[in-house]
Amino acid sequence: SLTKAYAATPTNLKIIDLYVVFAVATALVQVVYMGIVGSFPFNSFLSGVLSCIGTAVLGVCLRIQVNKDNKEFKDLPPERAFADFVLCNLVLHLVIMNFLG
Amino acid sequence: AHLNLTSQVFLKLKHESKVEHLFVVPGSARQFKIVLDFLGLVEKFYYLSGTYDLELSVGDASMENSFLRALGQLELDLPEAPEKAPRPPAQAVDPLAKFRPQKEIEHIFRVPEKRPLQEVSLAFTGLTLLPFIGFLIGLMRLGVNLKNFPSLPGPAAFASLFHAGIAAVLLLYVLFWVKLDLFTTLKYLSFLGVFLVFVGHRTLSHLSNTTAKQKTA
Repeated sequence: SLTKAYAATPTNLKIIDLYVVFAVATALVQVVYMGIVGSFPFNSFLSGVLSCIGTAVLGVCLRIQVNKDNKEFKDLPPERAFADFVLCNLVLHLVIMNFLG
Repeated sequence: AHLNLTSQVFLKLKHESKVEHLFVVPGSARQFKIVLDFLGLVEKFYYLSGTYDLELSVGDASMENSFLRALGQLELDLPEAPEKAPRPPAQAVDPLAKFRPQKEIEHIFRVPEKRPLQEVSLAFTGLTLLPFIGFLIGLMRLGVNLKNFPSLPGPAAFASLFHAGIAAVLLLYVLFWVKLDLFTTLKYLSFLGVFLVFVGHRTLSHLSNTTAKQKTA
């Protein structure tokens, strides 16, 4: 079954999954808030949601690259993937902070 | 005076409210005659009663002395206008009027947007932090540990500097949001970025070497 198969995944992948879930949940909270109070500083809303979605996407990319079962990225050292993850996140958050207003 | 057939003769009636009516006077070479039946023309005159100035205009391309002569005034007492009578057309405004002092305009500042109550905002700020707490709890349950942190002093220092560097960049972003402008931020970011690249490279290559050694050993 799904839960049993998922328990078998390596821990580092589970950490990344948890991170992605956390990011998407934060985005959902922001969308609900906007649904309640209206979208007045729309750039702030976009910035917040986009930061969550962006970092979730980067997390997914990291997971793909780090996964040992993935033949396509066999020769890519996971540390290199992690360095890319950190760098891209820093650039994303700079743009987000600028757009936040 | 002899008048050619090509001559143009107009009779102009001008009301005191500046509404004008022109009538072409038909005629032959000898005589120009016009009969105005005011009762039939009541609607054309827009039912305006009052004083009308009478003017006669005679002109032609071949005439040297075309003229506009005032003939006098006429009092017209027209019946009352019914409901559906046409209104007289709006008369031309004094063209210099736009250069005289105009009506004063009151400036209305833009009404600010409605903001939510502060309690609602604070509640949702707390709600936004909830997933982060969930993340930390999940990490603890997964058994996240620092076992792979280098024990030798050299690599350990670099590893600590790596984490400190990332924290410094995030702190810089917070400062950017609160206080700094983009140019200052980019300047500091370039310093921190160079530092971070150097330190990160050292740390991560050390890490990959140790994992490679663990695999082969």
